[in-house]
Amino acid sequence: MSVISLKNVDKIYTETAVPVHAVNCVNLEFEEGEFAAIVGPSGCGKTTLLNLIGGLDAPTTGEIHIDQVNVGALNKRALTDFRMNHIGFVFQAYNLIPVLTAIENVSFIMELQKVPKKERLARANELLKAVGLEDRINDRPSRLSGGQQQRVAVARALASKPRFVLADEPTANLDSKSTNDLLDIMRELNQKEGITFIFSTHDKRVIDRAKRIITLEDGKVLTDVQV
Amino acid sequence: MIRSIAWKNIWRSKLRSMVVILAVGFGLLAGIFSVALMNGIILQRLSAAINIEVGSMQLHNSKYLENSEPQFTIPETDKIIENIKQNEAVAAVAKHYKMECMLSSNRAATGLNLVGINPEEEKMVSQLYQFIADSNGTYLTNEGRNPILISTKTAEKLKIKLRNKIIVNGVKKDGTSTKASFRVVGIYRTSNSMFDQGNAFIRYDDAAKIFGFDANESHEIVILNKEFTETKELKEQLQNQYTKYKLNDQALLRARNDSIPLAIYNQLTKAKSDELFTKEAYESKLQEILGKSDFEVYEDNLLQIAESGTSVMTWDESSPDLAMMTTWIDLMLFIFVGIILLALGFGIVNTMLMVVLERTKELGMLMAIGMNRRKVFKMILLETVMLSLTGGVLGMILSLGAIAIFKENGLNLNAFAEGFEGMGYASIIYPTISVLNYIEVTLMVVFTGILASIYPARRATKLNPAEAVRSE
Repeated sequence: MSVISLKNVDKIYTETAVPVHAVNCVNLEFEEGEFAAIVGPSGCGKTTLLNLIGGLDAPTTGEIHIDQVNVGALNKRALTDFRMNHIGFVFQAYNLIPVLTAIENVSFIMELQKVPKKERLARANELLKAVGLEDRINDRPSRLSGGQQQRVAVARALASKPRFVLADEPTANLDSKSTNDLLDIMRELNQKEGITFIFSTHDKRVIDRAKRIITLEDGKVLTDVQV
Repeated sequence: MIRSIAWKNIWRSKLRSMVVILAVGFGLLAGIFSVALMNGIILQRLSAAINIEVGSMQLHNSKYLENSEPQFTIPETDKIIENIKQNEAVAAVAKHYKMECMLSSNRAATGLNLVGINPEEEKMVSQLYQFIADSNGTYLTNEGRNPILISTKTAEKLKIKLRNKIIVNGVKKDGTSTKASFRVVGIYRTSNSMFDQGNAFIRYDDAAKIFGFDANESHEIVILNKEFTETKELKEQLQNQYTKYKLNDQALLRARNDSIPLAIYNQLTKAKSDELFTKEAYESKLQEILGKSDFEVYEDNLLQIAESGTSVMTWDESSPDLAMMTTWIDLMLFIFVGIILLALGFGIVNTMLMVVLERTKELGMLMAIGMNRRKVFKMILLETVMLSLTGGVLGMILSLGAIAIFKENGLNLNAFAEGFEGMGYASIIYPTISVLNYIEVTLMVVFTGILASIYPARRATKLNPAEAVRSE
């Protein structure tokens, strides 16, 4: 049974002079534990689709169900809580909080979830160890390389124990080694813990490692291939 | 952790935050120090008024207050003084004769109040003796014949020096005129040139002899309380004991000239009589005539118009301008600091708007990963309040330092001494401010921080996380 389901989803931006049909009648299903990549040229609607799945944006028409919950029907507050408890995000520009150390960045979301301090420190330590940064836990982002910052971002995305991680072009700013290291970590978490990973990317290195490739063009699903 | 993030965020742009902190700090220094100066001026004036000029309270013959003719004295003064001295709230009591006289030298003449005092008794209620410079002679003593203490202003006016002779012309108790010669034994100078110009001092016994008074009467009894400004209870007590009330023609005439409404005046005329009442009896009679609510509104005026016998006045009644200023000082703090904080508030709003703009991406990320709008609002609010409060603390430390420096040595405004003293104020000011004022300022800074954060924080909560997270 699918854990994420998109039915006839459209997203039309009307704020621009000419309305933009960013996502056009998309129907998709994701099973638990998938390692999928949404690919396509710039402006094809990858990020918009990922934002819709993550509840950061609402569809103009159609329905999105995550774990049987119609996210379009949730109010802003409930949607924020839903994102916090069910979805982990990894962004292209890492987006860590610059004034916090690596471990504080990872712990932060657990504090929002009101996890006791001892428990959240233990989990943050464990996650940073899993991404190979156990010796950099007290460093602020400015002291970490791009690859290391993105690994902290992955640890942060996993801190709230989400069932899904949505990563928007996570390797766009990374060199080959960092990209491979990051993909190794994500694939391992995907296989060991059954966490579903969905990427938006046009990075060949990511596409090569993905187990399902969904190609978008002009907001429409062009191909959907299991590898 | 939101508190910790807010605090750390302040120091992300050190220069910008320091500019705001210094602006708030120096703004508050200006506000607090100005208020402390005004406070110092007023308290010094109050202290001078109570300790030199009017004491905490005064008793007069009520007729003397209307028409200061020599025959309107307080009879049996010594008995009253003995009685007042028994009261625990009282520190000291002294009696005065007060005569309007003309003082003349060979070269000039001036009119003033000649005050008859018992020098040693007077020292207990008035610090005037401390205002005679070493080179300007001494305070009144029991030595010598007809000594007089005048001010430098009077000496200048009469063009005389220490140990010169003065002729005093005045009216005796029986209405006949009298003349006597005095020798200047001391020349004083207080910070109130109006007081200096208007008063000269001679011995009580000399005054009694020259102006034909009985030793057991006086024009004025001055009381200095242990708590200088605490007068309410004693006043009530003395009024019950010594003041009588009479609703006669004169009282009604005063009522007509006072701010008492016509309707009440008309009711008072119906109760006109020459009967003397105690305070309590007069109050219950008025309540009966006017009803309780009307009586309570005009109580002070209604008591004053009918006073007969000995009248009791507190320092704030004899110096209403001063009383008003002491109540204004707190308002001054709110106005001064309020205006400064209002101006600074706009600067803070501007800074925080820049902060929100610069951190759009980060705020978008926080909202994306699950920080709700209430927490985003709280974070910006805390950041603004912490920023303002840091400036506030700096301002208060600077003010404490500045006030401590000038409290010790005073701020010397001698260049403006004539103007200050002409209005009764000292030209060396010792700024002072209460702990309560500091608490008030702290609350005002916090309030400004909260107010200044509302707009930027609302802007932050209105961000769309999907757009914000991808913004450049």
